[in-house]
Amino acid sequence: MKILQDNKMAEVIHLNYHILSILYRFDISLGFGDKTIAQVCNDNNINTNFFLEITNAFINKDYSPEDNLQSFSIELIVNYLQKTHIYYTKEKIPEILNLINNLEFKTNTQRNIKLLKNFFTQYSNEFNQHINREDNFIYPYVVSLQKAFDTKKISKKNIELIKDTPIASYQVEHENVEEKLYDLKNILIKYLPPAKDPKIINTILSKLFKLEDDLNEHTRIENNVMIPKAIKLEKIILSEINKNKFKII
Amino acid sequence: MKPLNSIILEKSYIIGKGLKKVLEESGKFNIIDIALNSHQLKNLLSHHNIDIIFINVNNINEFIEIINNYSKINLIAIVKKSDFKISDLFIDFINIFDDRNKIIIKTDNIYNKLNSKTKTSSVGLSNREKTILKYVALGFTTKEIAEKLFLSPHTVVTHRKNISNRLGIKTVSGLTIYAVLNNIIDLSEAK
Repeated sequence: MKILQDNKMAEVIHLNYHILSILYRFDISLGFGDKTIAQVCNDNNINTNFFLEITNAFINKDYSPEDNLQSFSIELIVNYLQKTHIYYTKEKIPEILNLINNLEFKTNTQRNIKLLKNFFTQYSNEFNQHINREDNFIYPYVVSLQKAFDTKKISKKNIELIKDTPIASYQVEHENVEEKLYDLKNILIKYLPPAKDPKIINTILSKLFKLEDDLNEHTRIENNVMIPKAIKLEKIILSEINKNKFKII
Repeated sequence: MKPLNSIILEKSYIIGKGLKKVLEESGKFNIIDIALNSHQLKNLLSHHNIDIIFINVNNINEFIEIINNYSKINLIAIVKKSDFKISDLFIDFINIFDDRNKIIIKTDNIYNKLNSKTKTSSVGLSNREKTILKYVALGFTTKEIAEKLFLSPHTVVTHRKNISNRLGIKTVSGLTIYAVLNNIIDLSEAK
């Protein structure tokens, strides 16, 4: 089903509680009574259509937000993606690391914890590197494209960037990080000896599965929305520069 | 158990969607998409590694040429009668009027038929594989391992792929953990 602006926010959460994490990222607090999505978004100064597209894409994998999302400014999208980065690095990953530290196994506890901790720390370092590259390089670049397009002004340096390292050269790159997450799940499920408290292992696993889902969604928005949009901007900018429609600063 | 990547070629919206739902329920098929025309089919085939196409038997002539370009694809006919005479083109058929139990037996059969072709034994690693895993976990590259064991790099790559498939672990650090847990190397040796 598709979620619409006149649906009640509370009912939508009953429908799919994963939406809670989206609310959190949009900084929307609970306690909205019977307000509709449009009302809650208005109260929180959030673009309702953007909220709906993200939510629908999140709960329905068959839903293709591509066309509609194209109508939002690239800054709105980048902003959202950045917020999800903070959510992963400041909350989800530390939570999992903390749980690993509390694990105890029936045999070889110390060795096993050490193995897991090293592995997960490595994962989190690679993840941070990947995110830093996006935050410090790719996102600002994409935003600068939009700005150049809007103002019809572009710096020489940015022209070089479009020519030398267009957005297409950044695509994929998620691979190794994804593989590590996959490995970790199998190590926990198939190979580690039983834990003293199986509840902790189960919690870690559910968090890993959830993190994976979240990351896939994040990648989907990057690959299907942000990157095509940036490619389009690059093309238009280059061709308009050739027609002398841009002021070079 | 890995779901088989599948496409449905069926123009009836209800049959297409219905079949998708039923196949997904079994957990054995990953339905990449329902294709309606040759353009969509070509597009799907070029972007995904497809194992199976479920195809309305009446439309086979329209698509067979495209499908023939992909030798490893298996065809299942979508039919409307239980006494369908299966031709060499198809490995099996699904009758849309069958009840739930028959459909479940059918989809299980199809899955098992295809899976026995590609199945790898799951009873641990061979000695050769263990040796290679050991060197991988110790941090040696494919080239170095090839030299040590007098194998071609290509052979080492194949072994590494088999090891990863069998264990469900793809990264070197993941393999290292496996190696320590199974006493193939010692924790102090792990990088």
